[in-house]
Amino acid sequence: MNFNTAKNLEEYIHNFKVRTVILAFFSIVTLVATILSLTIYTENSFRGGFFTGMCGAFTAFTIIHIITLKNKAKLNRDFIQVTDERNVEINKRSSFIAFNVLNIFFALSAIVFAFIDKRQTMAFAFLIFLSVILQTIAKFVLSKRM
Amino acid sequence: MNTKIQELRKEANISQQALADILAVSRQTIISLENGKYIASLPLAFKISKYFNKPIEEIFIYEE
Repeated sequence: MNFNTAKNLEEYIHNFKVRTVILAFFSIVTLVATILSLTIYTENSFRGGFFTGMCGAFTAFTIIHIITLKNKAKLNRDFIQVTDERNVEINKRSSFIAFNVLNIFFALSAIVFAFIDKRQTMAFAFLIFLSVILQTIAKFVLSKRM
Repeated sequence: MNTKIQELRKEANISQQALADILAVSRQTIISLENGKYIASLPLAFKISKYFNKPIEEIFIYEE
């Protein structure tokens, strides 16, 4: 998924720096949560493992971002990749396909679970309802902008 | 949609990567444009037209 809104390289680098700070913040938060889970709140071992994994992932992403920030050529290549109109089109189409496949999956799951568990069926039906509502809102907003 | 991008690029003696860098797109986009697999947006078509100094209709041939 592509959330790029930068119009030029400078803007892209600025957004990249902001993203790095956010990642670093989450690394610290999950590190604190990991330490607390492994030292004070030890009654749930799953929580400790979960926060350790999250902390590892956030820290790895932060380090990758910091290394990338020092490499102007790589940033330029990345900027071209995310703003390239063909890639943007591919992202749009793949998101559209994923959205529809997911809804079909939800619908099939709701039908199958109707024979097994009522709550599961309700949950899948709610997810379909939610996706339809979100799509309607997105269409409304985009139709006003375009 | 057929294009004369490959022909014009070879005439200008420029690589796909160099053209991609000039137009600020990926090399894969240039390859797809040359193969006719991807149709350029209007802004990109104008950029290509400006770079080769040719009218758009001379570079992009629309076939019904």
